Amino acid sequence: MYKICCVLFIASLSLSSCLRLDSNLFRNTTVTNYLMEANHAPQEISLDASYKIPDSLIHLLPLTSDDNGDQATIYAEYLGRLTSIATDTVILYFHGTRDNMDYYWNRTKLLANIGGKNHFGVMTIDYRGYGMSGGKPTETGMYADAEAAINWLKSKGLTGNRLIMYGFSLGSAAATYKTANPGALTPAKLILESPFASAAIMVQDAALLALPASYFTNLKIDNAQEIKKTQQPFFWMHGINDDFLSITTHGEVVFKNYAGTYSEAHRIPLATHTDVPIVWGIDNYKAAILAFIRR
Amino acid sequence: MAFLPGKVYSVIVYPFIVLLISAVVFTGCAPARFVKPLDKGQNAVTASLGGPLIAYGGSNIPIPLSSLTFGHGFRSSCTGFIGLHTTALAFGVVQTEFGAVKRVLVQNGWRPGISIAPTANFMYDKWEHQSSFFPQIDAHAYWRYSKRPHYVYLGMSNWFDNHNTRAEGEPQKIHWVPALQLGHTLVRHGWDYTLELKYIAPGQSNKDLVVDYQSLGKTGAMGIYIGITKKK
Repeated sequence: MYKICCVLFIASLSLSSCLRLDSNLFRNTTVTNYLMEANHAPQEISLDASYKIPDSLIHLLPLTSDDNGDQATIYAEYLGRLTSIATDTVILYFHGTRDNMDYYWNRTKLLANIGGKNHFGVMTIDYRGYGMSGGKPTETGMYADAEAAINWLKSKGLTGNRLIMYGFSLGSAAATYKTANPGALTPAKLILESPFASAAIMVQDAALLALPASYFTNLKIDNAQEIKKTQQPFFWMHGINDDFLSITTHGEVVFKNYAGTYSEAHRIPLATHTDVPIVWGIDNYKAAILAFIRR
Repeated sequence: MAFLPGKVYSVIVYPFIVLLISAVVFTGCAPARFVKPLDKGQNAVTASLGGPLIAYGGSNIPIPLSSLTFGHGFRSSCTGFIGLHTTALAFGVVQTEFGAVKRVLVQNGWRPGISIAPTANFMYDKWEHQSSFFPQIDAHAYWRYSKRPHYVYLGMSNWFDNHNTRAEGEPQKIHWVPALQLGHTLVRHGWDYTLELKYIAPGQSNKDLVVDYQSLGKTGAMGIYIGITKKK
C-alpha cells in the first residue's frame, strides 16, 4: 500500500497540468478605437451633460510599457491641459477588471470634475490586453503599465508631490503597488475604492478552508501586504454591502494593515461593489476626495 | 444617475469566479465514497463527476469536477480506499484522500445499515510547494429497499480545519465544514451507478463572496454528483 501511494504521488506530480486562473481575473475587451463621450453602452455611473469634458482637453496617448523585456504599446487617456502638467496636481486612475477605458469613461470624467471642471489633471490607462493596448494582461504587466504612465507624467514635468494614485477594485493593486514600490515618481497620496485584500483572501473566502492560493492561481494582488509599506496619506472607501469583495475580509484588512501617517475610512452604507460614488452621493464623494487631496 | 448593481458585475467577471468555485472543490468535490463496505477481497474503482451548483448562462449547473477512487475490501465490514482528484491535478495540485469505511450496523429490515468513514485529505501544489492536510469523517445510513441490491443513503460529511490563521494573518474562524448528502446507487451487472445531492456548508453565509453559489437560501451551496463504480 505504501509503495502504491508513493508511485501514485510521483505519477500525479509528473502528470499534473498547468491550468491556472491568472488570466481569468482580467475581463478585458479589445477595441480598435475608443468611443469616450460617444460610448452609450451602460456604465457603472451615468453623469449629466455638465460633466462633459471639452474635446480639446481629452488626449489619447500611446505609451511603451516594459515588463522585464516584455514590451507592449499601451494606451492612456489624459483629461486636462498637457501644457500645465508641470504645475497641476494629477490623479492617476487605475480602473477595474472590466472591458476597457470606455467602460470607465464616466468615472474618469467624474474625477476630472472634482474641485471644478478640469481642476485636476486625470490620467487613466488600459492595461496591456485591454482596449487598444497590445499584449496580454498579467499582474506584473499591469504594474509595468502603471510605471509607463508615471514615466510619461514625469516626462511632462509632474513631480511626485502632485501625483495622486487612485485604484478601483482590480486597479487597487496597481495603485497600491506603485505607491508602496515607487519607480520614476513617489506618489503623494493613495486613494482606494473597493480594494482587494489579496488573491489568497479571495480563494479562502470561496473555499471556507485555509487553502493556499497557489492551488489555483499565481496571482498575488497582495494589497494587504503592500499597504504595509505605504507611508503616504491613505483614503479608503468601500461599500458596506459589497457583494463581490466583502468589506470585512478585503477592505477592512487593507485599511487595518496601513501603517502610515494619515488615513481615512469611508464605509458607505448600502453601497455594493460598483456604486460607492452613487450611493454615497456624487457631491459627497467629490467633496471628500477634494478635501483629502487638499489637506 | 444610474449604476450597474454589484451582482451584474460579479456575473461579468464570472470566469474567474467559476474557477474560483473550484476552491470549494476541496470540500465538495466528490460524492460519498464507499457508503457500503465492499466484500472481503473485492476491489472497486470509482469515477465521479460533479460539484457545487453555480449560475451560468442563465442556468444553474454543477461544476464538472472529477475524481478517481480505488477501494479494497479488507474485511466484509471494512473497506480501505484511496482517491485522486483529477480536476485539482489539472491545476497542478495533487489532492489525494486516504480512508476506510467501517460498517457499524447491519441493515435489518427498515432499520438502516450504518457506516462511518474517517478520511485524511492531503494536498500539495507544484507551484509553491504548499501542502495541506484536512481530516474528514463521514457517516451514512443506507437502505437496500428491494430484493435487488440497489440502495438509497443519507449521510453527513465533516471536514475539519485546524488552522488558527488564514491568509494575511487573519484568524481562521471556520473549523468545521459539514455537508449533508442524499444519494441513490443503482447496482447492475457489476457496475454501480450513483446519483447524489449534497448541501455543502449549510450554516455558512454564501453572500458577499466572489462566488455566486446556488443554494436553498442564503447559506451553503447545493451540489450534484454522479459516480460510476466497477467492482471485481
